[in-house]
Amino acid sequence: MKKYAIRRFIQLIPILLGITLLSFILTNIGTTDVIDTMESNQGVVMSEEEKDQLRQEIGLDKPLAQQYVIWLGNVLRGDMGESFVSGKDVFDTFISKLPATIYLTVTSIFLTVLISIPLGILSAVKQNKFLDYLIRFLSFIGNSLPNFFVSLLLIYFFSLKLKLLPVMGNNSGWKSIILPTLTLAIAMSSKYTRQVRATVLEELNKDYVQGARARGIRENKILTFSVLKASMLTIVTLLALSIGSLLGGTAIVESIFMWDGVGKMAVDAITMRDYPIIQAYVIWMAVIYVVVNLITDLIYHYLDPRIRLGQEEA
Amino acid sequence: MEEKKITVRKQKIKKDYTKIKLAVYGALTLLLILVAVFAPYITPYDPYEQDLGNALLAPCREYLLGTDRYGRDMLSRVIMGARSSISSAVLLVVIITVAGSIVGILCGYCQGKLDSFLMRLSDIFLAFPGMVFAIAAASVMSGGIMNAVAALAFISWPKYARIARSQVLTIKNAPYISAARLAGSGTGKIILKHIVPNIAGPVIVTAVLDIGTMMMEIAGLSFLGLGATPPTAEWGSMMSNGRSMLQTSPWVILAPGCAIFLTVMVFNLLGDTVRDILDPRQSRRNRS
Amino acid sequence: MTQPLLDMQHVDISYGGKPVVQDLSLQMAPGEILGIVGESGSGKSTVLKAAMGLLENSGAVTRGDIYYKGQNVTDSRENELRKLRGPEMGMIFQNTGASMCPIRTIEDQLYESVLEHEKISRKEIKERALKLFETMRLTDGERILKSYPFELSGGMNQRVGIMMAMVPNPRLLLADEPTSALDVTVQAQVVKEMMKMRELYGTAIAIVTHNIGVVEYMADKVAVMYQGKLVEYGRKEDVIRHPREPYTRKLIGAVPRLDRG
Repeated sequence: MKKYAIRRFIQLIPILLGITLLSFILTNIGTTDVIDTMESNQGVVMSEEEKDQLRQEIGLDKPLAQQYVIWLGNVLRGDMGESFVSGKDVFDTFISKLPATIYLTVTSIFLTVLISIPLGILSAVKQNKFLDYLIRFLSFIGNSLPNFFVSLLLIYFFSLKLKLLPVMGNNSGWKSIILPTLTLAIAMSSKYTRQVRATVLEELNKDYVQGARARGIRENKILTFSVLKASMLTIVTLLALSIGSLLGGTAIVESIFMWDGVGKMAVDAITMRDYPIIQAYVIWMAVIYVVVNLITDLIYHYLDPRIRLGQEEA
Repeated sequence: MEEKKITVRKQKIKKDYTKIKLAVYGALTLLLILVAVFAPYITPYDPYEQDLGNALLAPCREYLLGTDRYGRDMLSRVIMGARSSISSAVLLVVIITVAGSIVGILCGYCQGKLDSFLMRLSDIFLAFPGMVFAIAAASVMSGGIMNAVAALAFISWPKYARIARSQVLTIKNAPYISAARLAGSGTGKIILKHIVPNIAGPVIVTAVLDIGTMMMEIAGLSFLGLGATPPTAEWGSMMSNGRSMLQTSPWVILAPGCAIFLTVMVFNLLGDTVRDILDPRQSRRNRS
Repeated sequence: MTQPLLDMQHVDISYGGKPVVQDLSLQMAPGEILGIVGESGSGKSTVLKAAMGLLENSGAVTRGDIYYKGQNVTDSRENELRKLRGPEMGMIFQNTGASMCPIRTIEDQLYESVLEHEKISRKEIKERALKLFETMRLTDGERILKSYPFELSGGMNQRVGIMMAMVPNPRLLLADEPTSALDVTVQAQVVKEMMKMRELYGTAIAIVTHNIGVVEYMADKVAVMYQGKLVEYGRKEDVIRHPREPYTRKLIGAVPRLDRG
């Protein structure tokens, strides 16, 4: 187990390097000159000499590889430059917006788990019965709805028609998180319910279920103590994997609901061509995603006795 | 011992509707594609012609889905929107399927250094939450629906490379391929005649299932202003432009929204059915 | 005649509309060992599953009846059947390792199985299990109980299977190819241990196998199945010494013997 964890950490290094390199290249192939953008965004008029001097200052005259190394060093020290727009430190800005996104992510995951796990299990147990068809139908609908459409529909019904919930912002108390959470949870649970169902069905078709039946064990007990226990490992892993789509989804949802998190920050930055902010967003979201996946993987390995006891080479 | 009467019981047998489903969903998909192809000929009005006198009309007999704030007919715009949405999603899926499969086949067939390099590369791409990366890439490339497609293609190919590679690895050493090799078939011929047909199943299933997802992601980028730009009739950007009118003229949102929803649904239904047919492992689970 | 333990009368079994077993009738007396032989796909295992009422969703007894101690198994409700499984009928699978939950210990699953039917202490269950292990000359029963199925060898898992089935002291053991996945030497041991169970507890055994040798060694009666039909059924001596059907003759001729015991 320890060995495995260490190996996984080592494998993480090239991936993290790759993430940073890709993000670096991405924001550097932007056709527009960084300094020009900065000039037009901050509304300061600069002469060409001044611009060149600035370019030298941030090292833009150096070859790309060298720029990357310098930049990476800065990133590791938490220095990701300053926003072209506000002039504030990018990393600080990111960190200040992160809690709002985490808050939203956590409530969405919580709601998703609350919806999907029971429904997925129910759907599997009642396979090809009415309830199964109903659940599958609903999750099918949810899967075909883009989350920006869901957001707008929810706003339309709950805020504009029924006037029950605020349209936007995180300054109107706990009520303001309901709609964004609901939006994200609808999309995520539709996908996840299907995965839970498939996982449970796969377990239900395994020989040990028949074995337990042959020993006269009640279906409920087989389900709770064996099938669900065995499925949970996969279910948790799948949940962690779907966090990736959640992280991407928050950008649109945050900007629709004016939720002041990193997603809205990124969307705002796009309109202003505020590359350092976009860069920080991409890198840190990817890092968060990778770390979440790593943690899940380690938990999985810890929980599964087959792997923990070193029987299966992972 | 006395003879007992023999009990006879009827067994319920589930009918297999897969073929009917395939026909129905296939027909619906075809219909959507036809709408997209012939969009300019079937729109009741010019989707781009502004008529400010008729702005924001509620759905009525003349304008079945109402008009937007420039007085453009929503129905015509939704029909035109089918063109950009469906064509861009299909194009995107074709690109990533072909590119990913080529990489996957190369990796699986050649292995060695090229394989490990490309697989490490795909690890890196897979480490990004897809939409996050696409948002950044599209923003750097500054708008346009083709740039949105490019951004999503850039991040989405590794999945296909993975699938193709693992398929190649499982069949590469199959006796019939060794036999073909011994019979003097060249690498190219083996790949085309034996490997491609064998990996096609899982790749196609993934591809068809991806069309709907990709359509939503492209629309999402357009919604953020990173895809189609006004005045192009595209569902995502139409919805984005209509946001402020949600309260007063909800049809401006509902029409393109429902169009995306229904189209994605049809493609997803088709995808599920194709999977039932081509992926025996899955369908066995569904039927038993 | 006393009431048969298991009584199958003109049974047809179908899977998804396809007939798998046709017009099968057989009776088992208490304490009797019945060997059911035939090639794979001949419907042998299906017969065992039907006896327990454990056919998969798409399978069903479409004609005829199966009685256990006079109780109609085919028409019994799931809940009544469940009470038979374990205390009355025990099943040994070809791969006991796979027939147990992979992420729970054997001990844990043993307690679960027994406590489902009997109100006794865990200590008592464990004593019974250890005693059975001793009968099979396994001295490290404690360790086996603490193991997960994947930690044990195939032969060991089969003995665990016998133990699991025997702890509730059932009247009928249904063994579905219990030795097919094992090495020849281990096979012989497992077969002997099943015989010992009958000796000690008077348990009737229905064993499905494609190994005529196993049947010759164990069985009192033999049933030969071919393409879903019972082609030969009778006392072992009669069937094996004087087979009437050409198929039976072929089967006997094709399989190596296991009668060194």
